[in-house]
Amino acid sequence: MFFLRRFPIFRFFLAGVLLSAAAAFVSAAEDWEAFYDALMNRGYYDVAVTYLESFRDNPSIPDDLAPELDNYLGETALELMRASATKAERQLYGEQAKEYLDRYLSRNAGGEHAYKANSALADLYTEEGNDEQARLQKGLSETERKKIEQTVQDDYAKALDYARTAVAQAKEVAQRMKSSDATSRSPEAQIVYADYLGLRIKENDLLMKLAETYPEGSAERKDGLEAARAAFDALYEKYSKYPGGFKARLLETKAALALGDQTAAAEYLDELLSLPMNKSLYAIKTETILLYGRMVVEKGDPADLFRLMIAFYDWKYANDLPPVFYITAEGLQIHLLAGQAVLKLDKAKTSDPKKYAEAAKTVFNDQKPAVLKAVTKLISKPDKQAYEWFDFVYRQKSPFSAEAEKLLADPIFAGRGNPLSEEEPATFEEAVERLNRAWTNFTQASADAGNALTAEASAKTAARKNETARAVDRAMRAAFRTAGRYSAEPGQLDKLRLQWATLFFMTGRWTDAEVLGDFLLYRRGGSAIAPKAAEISLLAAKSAFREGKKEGFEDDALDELSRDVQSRAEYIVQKWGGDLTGDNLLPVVREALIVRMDTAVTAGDIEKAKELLGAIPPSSAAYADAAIQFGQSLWSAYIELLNQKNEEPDSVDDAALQEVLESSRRSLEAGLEKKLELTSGGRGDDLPTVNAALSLAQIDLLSGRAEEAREWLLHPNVGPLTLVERRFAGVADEAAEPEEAAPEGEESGENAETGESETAESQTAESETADSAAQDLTLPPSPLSDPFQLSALTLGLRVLVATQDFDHAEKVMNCLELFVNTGVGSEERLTLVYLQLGKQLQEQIQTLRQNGETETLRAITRGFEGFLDRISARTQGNTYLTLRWVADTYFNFGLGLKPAAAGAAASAEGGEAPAELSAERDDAQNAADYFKKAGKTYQTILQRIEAEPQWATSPNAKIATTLRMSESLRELGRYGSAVKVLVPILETNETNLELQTGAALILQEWGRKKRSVYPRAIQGAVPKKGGRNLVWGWNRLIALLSRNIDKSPQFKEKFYDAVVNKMECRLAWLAGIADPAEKVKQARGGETELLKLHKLHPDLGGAAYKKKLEFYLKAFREAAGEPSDEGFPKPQQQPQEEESAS
Amino acid sequence: MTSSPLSIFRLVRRLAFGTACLFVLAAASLRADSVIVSSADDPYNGEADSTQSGTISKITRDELTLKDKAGLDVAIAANRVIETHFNDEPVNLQVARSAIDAAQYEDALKKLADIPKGEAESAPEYVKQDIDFYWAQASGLLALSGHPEMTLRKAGARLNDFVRNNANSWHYYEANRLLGRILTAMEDPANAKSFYENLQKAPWPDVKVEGSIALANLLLNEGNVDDAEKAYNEVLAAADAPGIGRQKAYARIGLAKIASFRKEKDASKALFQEVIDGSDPDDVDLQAALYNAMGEAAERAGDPKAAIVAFLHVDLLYSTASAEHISALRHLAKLWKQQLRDDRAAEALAILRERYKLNN
Repeated sequence: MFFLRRFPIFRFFLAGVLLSAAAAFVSAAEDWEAFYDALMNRGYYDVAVTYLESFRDNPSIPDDLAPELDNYLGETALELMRASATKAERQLYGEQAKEYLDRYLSRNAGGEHAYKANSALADLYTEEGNDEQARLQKGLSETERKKIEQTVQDDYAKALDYARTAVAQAKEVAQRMKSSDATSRSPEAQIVYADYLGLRIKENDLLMKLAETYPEGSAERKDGLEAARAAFDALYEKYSKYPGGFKARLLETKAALALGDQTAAAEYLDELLSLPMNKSLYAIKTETILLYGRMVVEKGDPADLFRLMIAFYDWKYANDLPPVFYITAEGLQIHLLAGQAVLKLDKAKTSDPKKYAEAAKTVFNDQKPAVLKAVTKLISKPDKQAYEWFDFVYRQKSPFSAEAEKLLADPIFAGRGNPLSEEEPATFEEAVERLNRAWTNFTQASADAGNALTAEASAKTAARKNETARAVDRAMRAAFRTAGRYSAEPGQLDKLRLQWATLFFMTGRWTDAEVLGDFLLYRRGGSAIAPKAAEISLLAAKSAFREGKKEGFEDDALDELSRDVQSRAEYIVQKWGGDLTGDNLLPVVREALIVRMDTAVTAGDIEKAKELLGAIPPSSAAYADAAIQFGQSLWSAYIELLNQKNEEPDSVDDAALQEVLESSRRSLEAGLEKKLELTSGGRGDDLPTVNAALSLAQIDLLSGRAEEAREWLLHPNVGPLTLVERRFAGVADEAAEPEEAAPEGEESGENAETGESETAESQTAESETADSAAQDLTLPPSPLSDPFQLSALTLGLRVLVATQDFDHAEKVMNCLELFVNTGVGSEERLTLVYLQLGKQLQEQIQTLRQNGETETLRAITRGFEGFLDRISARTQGNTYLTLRWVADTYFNFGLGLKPAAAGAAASAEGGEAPAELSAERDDAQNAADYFKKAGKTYQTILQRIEAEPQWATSPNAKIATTLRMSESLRELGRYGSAVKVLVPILETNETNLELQTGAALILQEWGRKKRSVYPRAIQGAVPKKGGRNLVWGWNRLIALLSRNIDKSPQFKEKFYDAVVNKMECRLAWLAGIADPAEKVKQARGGETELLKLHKLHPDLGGAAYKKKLEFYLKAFREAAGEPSDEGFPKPQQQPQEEESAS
Repeated sequence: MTSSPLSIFRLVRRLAFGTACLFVLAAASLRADSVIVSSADDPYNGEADSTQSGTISKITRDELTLKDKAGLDVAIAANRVIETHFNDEPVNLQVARSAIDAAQYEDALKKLADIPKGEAESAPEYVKQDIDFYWAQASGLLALSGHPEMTLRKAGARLNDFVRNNANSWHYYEANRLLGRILTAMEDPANAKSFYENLQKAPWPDVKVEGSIALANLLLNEGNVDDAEKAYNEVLAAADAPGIGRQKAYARIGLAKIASFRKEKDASKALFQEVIDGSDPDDVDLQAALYNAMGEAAERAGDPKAAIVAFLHVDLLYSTASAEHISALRHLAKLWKQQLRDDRAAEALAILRERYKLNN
């Protein structure tokens, strides 16, 4: 609704219209509002004016439009004026707008919306004043200048008058609404209150503008600015929690600057800089940074410049500010200021190193290490960064391009060529230099992409990787073009070819990589780079084969791809392999051997792979690598098969799956042992070996060999957990120091004087000290990737708990938190780790239950329960995430032990009820205990959030925890309480999909106990004013999701989950219908709904959903008295191309 | 031009089928015939079509007889039927139906042409009728959209063959309706008349009146204003019955056009306003016809701005009525040029080109 966004008056107005429409029957009439909205969205403002004018003196004018016609026309003409290109048009439409608005006011002087018309008139005169002001930039005679200045003053004075009238009128309306209980909290009142604040800001902004039209030093100027400043200050004090209040503070800063009060301005800007970067504050933050930059860059004080860089980093890199802000006038100027700031800092570093260091210490002392690291990175390459930002501004072709060009002319950028760096390089050397720069960017981006742990980070880094790859590609072409003209050395070109092949390989362009690699392999076979080229060609062929298999290529095509791999591998072994027994095999030969096995495993021919491994003498150096790689290939194959089995349980044989896992374990173990033997106990920098140790530990844990897993994880030389913990050793001790240094008495949690327990506040303060100490620490660099380290810590935690080593487990848990706090990760990562851990545990419990391994199950749950109790009982150090994890794990235990629901869904999945009922009762009791513990912990979390909102670092914490709490109540069968818990949070978050789904699931579960609730699960519950339900139910969820089904797999999954749930409700509901005719009717309705769904979406969300829905289809038919084994209509075979029958 | 009330249901379904039709290749072969009937009787879904299955035992132009699984004959009036599915019908026939729903007529023709000749020839009579009808219908609708290769004459011949050879098809009235439109577009009112007269022979009052409206429109096109006026007034005098109100709205549009021809601006405006006030703003076909008529009347009255406003209603609010939309866009392109707004004329032409593959 374009118009509603632009003009809040119409939101207010329409709210009234909608209310009245709901109250009375409205006869069919032209949908003027839809048409008007469509015209405004298309920018046809002139047609909108014509259209609205057609209603003047027209008896058929819609009732809701009639009283507001001139108001609409005035706003539309104002928009037309803004969109007009010529001065004449702007004047014409400006006059038209005035006419409409004046007429409206003359007829509705005391009306509810009069303040809006006055506000529009204020805007109109402000626009006119701004237009005149712009003319002052041009060269003018003194007389002309004075005349224009007078016009500007007059325009702003008129605008101010209108704004003041609008303020008074809005105040009156607001007071009227506030005085009545019926309206004081209504949505219309909220709009009026917000409008009132906006108008007061507008009024004082105009007062400031007007004051600035008077000469420097004049009393009018000073008085006006001071009055505006005082008014902004009062507004800020009163509305300091709202964006409007911050806007007032920003304008107060401008007024202070105009009055020459730099000290106060700096103070205000400091406050504004500390505001979070959230959506409602983007514009304010942007303007703040600009003002701050303008104030400090010229002065050049290092501390201020550091602060500016922190703010700039926060603005440009650390948040999700829409890029459109970068190219606004403010955004472009910020880039220029940031560039100047880094250059000035660089100079300060050499000219006054002491001051520079002190400034850095002061400013960065209270910053998070992640910020320190990132800003240091920006500052450490001043010329590179400044060049990048100036170049960015230069390319936007804005009024600031000239300034950017001037800055780029600084000799410091001499080596970086023309700002328009896409131009042809002048020499081969220049081309290579440019290529090297592009390559550095690409490798960095590629490493970042490899380290990304979350989907969002992954998408961002992948985009950056692609962008830098394209730059390398372009630079490479330019290099070859110039090489042709300037006769570069042939060896040099081959090196470039190798680099290009590497780029192709790293970006998944397999065929290109193969072609270029082959050229060097076959045509430059004797050169030093040939083995590396061969390796690229081989790996690219292997990747093409894997990809083809994954994408379901035909057998013939796969055979061809496989032959490509084999032929290269054989050629390489033949060329460089010798008898394979030597200890100095080239890496490419080892790779070729591994590739041959790997391809065999990928093709499912494990015997062939074993045969190939057998061909390598176990005493040779190559054997260890080959066995490890073979084991890793089998491990990957196992995971792939497991996924396949999860999707289609009958597609993979359990024994075969176990055999693959066992073979993998044996091979990894043999390879690792040989490796340790050859390297005198192993080396921590041998990443494939460390990786193999991690895989082996995972396999051991999976096979119930927790002790063996522990041994590999904690191996003194190659143990993944050992290596990660070693990295944390010094840091973890430092992090612990503040607690150790705490005075006696306080540490015990008791107040020394009163003997009373510590208050929550003091505990929090202390834990905050510890947290902030941890945040000040930086981890030493590690060759291990972030995802690897997270895997090691996660697996470590599981293994240590499984082996009841709780002290060590707690240390590992602290390391996990530290890992996040030291800035390499994010809380999102930690949340992900905890979620993953919880899910793995739940799956493990379910598997053990299904397999009847009761003892192991008890040992695991008991072990973990002890650990969780211990963590939740800690008085210090528990973060929101830790407690959430504890609560979630209790919850997952509950789910894992919960007896399978006997009902439609279970039957649909082919599940069976557990055989021993007594065991089931025990499990049910245990599950209930876990749900109770989970519920209590969620309650503790919510109480803490209520007391200290900042404690929960995630903005979504309250919603997510409330949802989980309601789920715990649901699982305990306290359905009414579960819904009640959700209602207050739904009132403010009605469109939250998770909450609505959670609420519908509660009603559905309730329906299992009380049949009459089923229709509520479908149709929704908790009616609001106006009749619609606050809890939507499956119907509305399905309707909403169906519109978004193609937007993401998640929506699709949610959609089908909702459909399956609805079907369960329908089926269960009709089972209890006594009237046979009604029952048949309902059953047919269910069948029809499913057939329609199938017609619209023939895939029905995939095999698993289809199977479930087919169950319901048959059940409906049976209930309708027409049992049938037929499922959904099957697709016909596509006929061959033949001549038309028609 | 009026169209069947079922077209509203078709439009609703078109929205749903728009995307799905592309993937319908996997559509099912049904072991029983089924008939989709317009209905509003499902408490969980609100208004929805219902499917009735069984064996279609008899088809006439007026009704279908379905033998249900209990062996009972169920008669379904042809004007309530949205579409049928026959046991073992070719999959491409199903795809073609969906493509027509989504206004992708070329795709529909391609799919029908891909049905193996042998399969089509050996298909049961009712299936053959369906193939022939959709072949003719897709051709007709494509021709009406102004397709450069599918001429009105060619499409008219296909529809004429269908009407002549399938007098007992349940598609009979729809084919007559479409053929009448084709012949009108070919400026052959004499022949169009005979097909619209067939509509008047239908057993349902709304279709009878629809025939009368179509005939009155022909008279108006011929310049026989008085007889047209009389015919429209007769429709207005008809007794109320389901669907008749909508046809009366079409009659008022006709009368408003007549008033505009006679330069009775106020009368014309009043009649248009009556339709605006009394009709359903969501009835896309009717609203599109109304605003196009208003646009043309404003053009005749020398009021290009009002004409633009009227045609923009069709472009912005009722563009799913493709034939009317095309007409509105052509008017808009011309009017914007006259107003020296080449940028907006280019926008209208771009829609014609991109959405309808038409160069002007």
